[in-house]
Amino acid sequence: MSQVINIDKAVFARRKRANKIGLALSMFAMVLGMVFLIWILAVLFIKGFSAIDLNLFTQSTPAPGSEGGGLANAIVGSLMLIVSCTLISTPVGVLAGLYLSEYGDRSKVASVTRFVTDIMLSAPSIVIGLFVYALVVAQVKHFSGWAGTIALALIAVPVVVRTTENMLRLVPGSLREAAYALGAPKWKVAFMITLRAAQSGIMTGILLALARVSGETAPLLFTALSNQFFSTNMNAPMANLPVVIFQFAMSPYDNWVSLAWGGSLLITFAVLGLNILARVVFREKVQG
Amino acid sequence: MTFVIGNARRISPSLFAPGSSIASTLANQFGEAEAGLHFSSLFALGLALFFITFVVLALAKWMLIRMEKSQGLKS
Repeated sequence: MSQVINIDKAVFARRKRANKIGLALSMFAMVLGMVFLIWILAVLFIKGFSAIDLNLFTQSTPAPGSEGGGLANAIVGSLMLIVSCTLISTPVGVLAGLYLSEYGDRSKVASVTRFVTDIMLSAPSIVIGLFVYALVVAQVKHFSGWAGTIALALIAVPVVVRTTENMLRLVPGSLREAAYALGAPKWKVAFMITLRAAQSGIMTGILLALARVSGETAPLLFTALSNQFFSTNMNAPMANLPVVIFQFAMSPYDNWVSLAWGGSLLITFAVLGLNILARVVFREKVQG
Repeated sequence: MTFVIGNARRISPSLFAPGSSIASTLANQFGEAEAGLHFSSLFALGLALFFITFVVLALAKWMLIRMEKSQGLKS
């Protein structure tokens, strides 16, 4: 009898040890991730905070060799690109997600759409930039804000499609059945019941897509290009934060480099804010 | 990544020496590429990169499908 207990103890001790090792390894991985995140944020703060002042928001990017300057044109350009990208990608993405979850389901078309969406989701963003260059820029023969918008939308749409589909799938089937039982046609059920029930989840998806898109540099390099001057013309090259940071960070001028740090800080906190907002929106849904 | 890889136009056997990736090459050269061969080869690089991601993703999907099938058999 005592022997059996002894064997059990040995097994128990071994499992306890294995558990401790496993816990230590995963804690180490977590700490490693956190350290780098905090390190990045700290460096951004130290280098970027001194660059943030009123001029950053009111003045345009400086000419080579001149003093001061700000990022006003890049900030406005980025906002315009992101807003127009949202206006394009939200309806397309939400409707495609609605199709996948409510109509397509397990059909051939739906599974092909899902596969293509997955590929688009992980396609290198620079390749999407190349595609839009060939499709738009090479045809109209000049860079433009619209081309940048299209490139960003191509990146945002798959994100919205996948999250919309997943959120709609979380809506219980009994809700749909209840609506059918009241005599609602399928389109009414899809648009007025399911879509509404998943509203905040879909909002989260859109916000996450925005956060993803607002930091993208590669697809804008050959589409929106950049612009030294203040411009709100979507049909002309448009200044935007990522590309300006890309150009200024490698420049020999001190004030350009510091502007790049300021811009990086700005964009990082915008993305962080969007992510937090997305979480808040989603939590309200779960609780309410 | 374009910032730190060094963008050296050579194949280096060491990970510690400057090299270049497809994405960094495209980012650096595409804006000032000449029409013709340079331009086309950059596009071909983009195609190669896309092909790589496509193959990796297709493999991952295939593995997932296989795993799902074997799960179905066990239960």
